[in-house]
Amino acid sequence: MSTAASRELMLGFYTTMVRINEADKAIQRSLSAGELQFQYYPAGGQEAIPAGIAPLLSREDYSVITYRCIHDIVAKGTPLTEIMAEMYGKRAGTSKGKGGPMHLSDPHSGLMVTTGIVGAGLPIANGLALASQLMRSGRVTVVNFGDGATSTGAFHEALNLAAVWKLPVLFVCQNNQYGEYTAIPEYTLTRDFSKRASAYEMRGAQVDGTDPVAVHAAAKDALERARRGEGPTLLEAVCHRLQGHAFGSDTAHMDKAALEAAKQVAPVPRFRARLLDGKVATEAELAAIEAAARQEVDAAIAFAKEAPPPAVEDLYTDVFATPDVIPELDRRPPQRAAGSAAPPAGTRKLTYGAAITDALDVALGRDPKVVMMGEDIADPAGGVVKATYGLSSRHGRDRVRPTPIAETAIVGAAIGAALAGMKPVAEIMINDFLEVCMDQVSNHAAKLRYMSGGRTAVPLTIRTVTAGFVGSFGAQHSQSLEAWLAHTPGLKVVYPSTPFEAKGLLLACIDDPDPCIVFESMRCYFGQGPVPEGHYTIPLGVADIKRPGKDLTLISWGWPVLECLGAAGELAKEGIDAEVLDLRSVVPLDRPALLESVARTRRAIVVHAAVEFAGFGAEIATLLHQALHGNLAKPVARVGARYTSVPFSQALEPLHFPTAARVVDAARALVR
Amino acid sequence: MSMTTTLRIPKAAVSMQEGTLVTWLATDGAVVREGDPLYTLEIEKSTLDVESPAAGVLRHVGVAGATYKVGDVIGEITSPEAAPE
Repeated sequence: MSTAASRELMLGFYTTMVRINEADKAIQRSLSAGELQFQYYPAGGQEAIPAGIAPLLSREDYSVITYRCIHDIVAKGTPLTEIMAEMYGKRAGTSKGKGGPMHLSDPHSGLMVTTGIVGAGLPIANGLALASQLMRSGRVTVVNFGDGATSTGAFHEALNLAAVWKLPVLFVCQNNQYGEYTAIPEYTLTRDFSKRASAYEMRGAQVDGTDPVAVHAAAKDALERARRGEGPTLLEAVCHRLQGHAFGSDTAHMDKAALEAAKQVAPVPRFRARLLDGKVATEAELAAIEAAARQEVDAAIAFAKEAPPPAVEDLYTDVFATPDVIPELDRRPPQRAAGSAAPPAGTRKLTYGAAITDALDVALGRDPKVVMMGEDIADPAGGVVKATYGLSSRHGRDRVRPTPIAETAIVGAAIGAALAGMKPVAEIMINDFLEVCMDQVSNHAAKLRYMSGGRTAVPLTIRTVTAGFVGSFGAQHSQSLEAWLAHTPGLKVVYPSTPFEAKGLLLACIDDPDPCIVFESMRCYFGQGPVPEGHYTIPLGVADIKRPGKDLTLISWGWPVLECLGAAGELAKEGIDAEVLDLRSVVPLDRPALLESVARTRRAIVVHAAVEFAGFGAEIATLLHQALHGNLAKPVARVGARYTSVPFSQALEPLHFPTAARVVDAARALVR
Repeated sequence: MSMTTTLRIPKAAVSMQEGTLVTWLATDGAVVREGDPLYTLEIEKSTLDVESPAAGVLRHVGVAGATYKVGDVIGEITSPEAAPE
């Protein structure tokens, strides 16, 4: 244990511990009185950990924490007034009252994410650290989590990636002996979590987490190494939770003797006694620190009680950078004139896949903030469909980064880098693999802007392929999951069908301030079309009429647009003039284009690659029925995939997916 | 000047909607300190001794044995300016 800590440092530790303790108690007083009503996870017993680390960090350094958070927040430097206002759900809170006690963010003090999902912070911390590494900012990232998090996949994926990429991150496992209501011997046989580091060739250390001096010394060493570029450390701070899991929960799940013993050496009074015994401070000095902390907390609580709640108009802010693309608010004027979206005549031709490569090349070339990561994306592999071939050779493996097969680590790193101001482009090889990392996509990328009250943003792009209807991929590589994503507020969901759009929409996504998921249709990958050189964007949420017609509208996106065009050709032979409207994105949704087209044709079929039941077509059909009820000649029809997993056999796959023939049948029924 | 802290039934578990005030641990009119146990609350399958959020004189509103909804007022603590420590 280091004894070199100066008196100021020692008093600083104590001040932080007391401020934490007072804040923790004050919140529990308000809960006891029934004035606040939420699940609260007390921090008693863990005060020394962030108190020991805090002096080693500046506001420029990042922290990511978990829902047992008051100690970590107070130590990172977030003003108590803003913390308490958030606890009270007030507009002056860290997140305008929209995040609450489990989701505070305060980038001004470097607190980037508080997550309510166990283990989810670690992959995001990697991304913050990656941004620091790439920008050579010298910043470090500290991510705090409980011992319970060591059982999650996210923990292992994150440690592995941090080690491989030598990221400047400190993983702090606050081992309070319990994963929620379950004690360590019941959920893991691991006795020394720091040893998990060795599995990843990472430095691991174990320290007494009840002693701020010991924590400080261990963290100092780790952070200095991180700042020198020597990579991450897993620091296990051993402590003991002094209460049940949450406010109000009993302690029946805790070992009584161990709990009593821990209370006898509770960090705050024990450190107080040490300061007095060592004559570091006088009783009067410590009493003054305590009185000041109590006064500060009381003032913060009084402020929070008086502060106004969020306003009604705050409901819709911070979903996206601007609320105008929220589907239920979207009243943007029509932005499209038929044909205007086409590239100029004489433009060179590229395949859809080459257009994507070109877009990425352009983005990497024009903006140093763009960084790509994904499985196999670097040369010589250049991606499984060669979409990234040549890019790592041209732009370097720092910016075109091959990753382990670890989707949660990939998306988490992209989120963290985006939070730090980069424009990451993550590749999830096949969209079915999004299901492996939906927590990062749906709980984090989508929600962080909202949960932080707009204090943070996640301008990331995820590229992902759907391999539907190309044969040979079967049930786990061929789905089309846009409806899953569209269902979570905060995600933009883009689905190009032509080479021109594959490039222009992807470049728009990379520049967009919000998280965008781009579905690339493998079925379209080798089709050619005109693609302008250099940088251009196609605005998100603007549909395109791929074929004008007057008798009915075929509404689609992605590869089924090809089926619709084929169907329209067949129908023309029968004298039925079908319009093909390519939405190009489902969020934002081009409502004016839908209404304009279907008001004209009075008949519509929504055609999509996803399973028809509960698919996005239901949303569009409802929209059209509500807006155009009296004008429709027939109810809106849907042609989606059958309610089966995607079958492998070529005898069955064409029966599952929407084909031109099925669209033709549906159109005949509608027009007759 | 005195300050009154209203005592409401706390939300002490994720799914808690109501709880039973099993027994008062501090009598009506008692002088209590912050952190003193005030009453035993029974919720679902467990009980909890609710600690005093303030120092002062306790006044009972709720009665032992009765079941209350989260947020119902069951007492108050009036703190004189110089609260007993």
